[in-house]
Amino acid sequence: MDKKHLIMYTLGNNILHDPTISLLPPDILKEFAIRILRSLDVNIDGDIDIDKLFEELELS
Amino acid sequence: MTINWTHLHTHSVYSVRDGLSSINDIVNKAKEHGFSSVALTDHGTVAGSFQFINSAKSAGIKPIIGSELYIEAVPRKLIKNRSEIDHSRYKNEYKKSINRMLRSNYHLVALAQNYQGYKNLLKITNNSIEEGYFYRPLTTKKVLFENSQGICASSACFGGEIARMLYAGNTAQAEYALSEYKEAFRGRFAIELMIINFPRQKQINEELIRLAHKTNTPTIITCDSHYTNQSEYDLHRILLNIDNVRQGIKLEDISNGWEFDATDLFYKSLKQIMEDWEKQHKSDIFTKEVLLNSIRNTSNIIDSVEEYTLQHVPRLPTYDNGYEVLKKRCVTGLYNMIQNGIIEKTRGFEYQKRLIYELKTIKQLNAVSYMLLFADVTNFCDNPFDKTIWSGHEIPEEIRDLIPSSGTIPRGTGRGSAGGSLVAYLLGITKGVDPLKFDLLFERFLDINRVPKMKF
Repeated sequence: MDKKHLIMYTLGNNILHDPTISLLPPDILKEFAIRILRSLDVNIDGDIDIDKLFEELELS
Repeated sequence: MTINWTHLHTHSVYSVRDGLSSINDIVNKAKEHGFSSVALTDHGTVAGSFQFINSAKSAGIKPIIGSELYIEAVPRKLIKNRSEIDHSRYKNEYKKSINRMLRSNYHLVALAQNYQGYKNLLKITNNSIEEGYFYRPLTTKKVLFENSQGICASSACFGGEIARMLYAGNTAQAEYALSEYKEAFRGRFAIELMIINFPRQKQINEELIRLAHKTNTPTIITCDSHYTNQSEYDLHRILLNIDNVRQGIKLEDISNGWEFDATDLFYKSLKQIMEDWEKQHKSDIFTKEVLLNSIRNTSNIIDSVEEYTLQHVPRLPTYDNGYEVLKKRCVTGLYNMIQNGIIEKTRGFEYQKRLIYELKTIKQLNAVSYMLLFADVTNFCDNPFDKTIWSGHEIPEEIRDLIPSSGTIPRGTGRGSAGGSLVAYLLGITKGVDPLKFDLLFERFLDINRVPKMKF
């Protein structure tokens, strides 16, 4: 699994598919996705395109 | 006839406000069902181990110590820095979901196969309490995998990572998570097939079987036991809703109460499990062959667990130069009490004589550190303290409300024979009970001629 998929795995399965949590609006989800990625020491700007990631997770 | 099968996923009262069975209930029921062994897997703790291992050994069956761990879903670093999140920015309706997101976790059952495994379970659960406590003692995969020696694990319930991903339709990522666990536990990882009447369990079991076949992973049969007998379902519901019940709300009136979706989480016999499989789970995928193989795999895990004993020797702190410290504190206490008129000045010599006698006995019985330790504990209770810091460590916000508003911790005046000790009185361990005034015997508390059992 490459880095992008690892991140999707962390976000998509660990958090965002919880039925209660997925009711949150995209902007809040995105904010917390960024917080989680930063706490995993992922360089948001350099390593990953967060908007594209959200499109792939069907959350935008 | 003894059956080489047992429940490898069982909760007792040590799963606080979740498990109803006492340890003896579980052991007795395992024995009644003819099981050769009995396992204990409380949530996030192995605190019941000592009682459990002794109870099982007394009953003549093999104890298997484990824990259903909580694996964090949100990185620990984010939880630790959560004070940076300004919750006032969010609408009230979202706050609950945000909180839920931060406390997300997965279940995983870990069983100690030997004493090394037990020690590793202690390390993992201690770390989850000291470093990862957020609503639950959360552990990390890193800590779990670094301490996996002597431990075998299984996928747990619907709250487990693999089951949750499968249910969300993410088979590839469920497979990835499974590969991580299998690599970490090096062949000591199994998928749990639960024979319970949870509405989605049939579907999940079939998905799990497909994944197990694809990845050549052993499956085992479990029942996630939370109470001992079927008839205790309502009692268990009361336990889950104890806050509501305590407020006087009747169980039948609790509409928003917490309730498990499955109504048969009791300690079933193997015969009952076979019958329930036939009625609820039998299918072209969950065949009899799968069931029997899973029972066999459970037996293999039982066989892989070595028997060991736990030594329970309390290690109390010792004080440097303790006797001199004790003597000084007692003399100071006596002086202050005479100065304040609590002890009559004219009886000073009598008190002094009794103090010398008691100190000599305490020293001879090696009880100096014990007395000083208790004095520290009672002084800590009696003196107002800062609610935010204790002993250099920050007190978590979540528990600050538990500290009484007076800033002190209520305690009794002392109990039993301790009231006969002048030393206990002068140190403040006992309160308001002057042994000389009431003519109480010190020898009932401590006597050089017998092995002491000191209790305050």
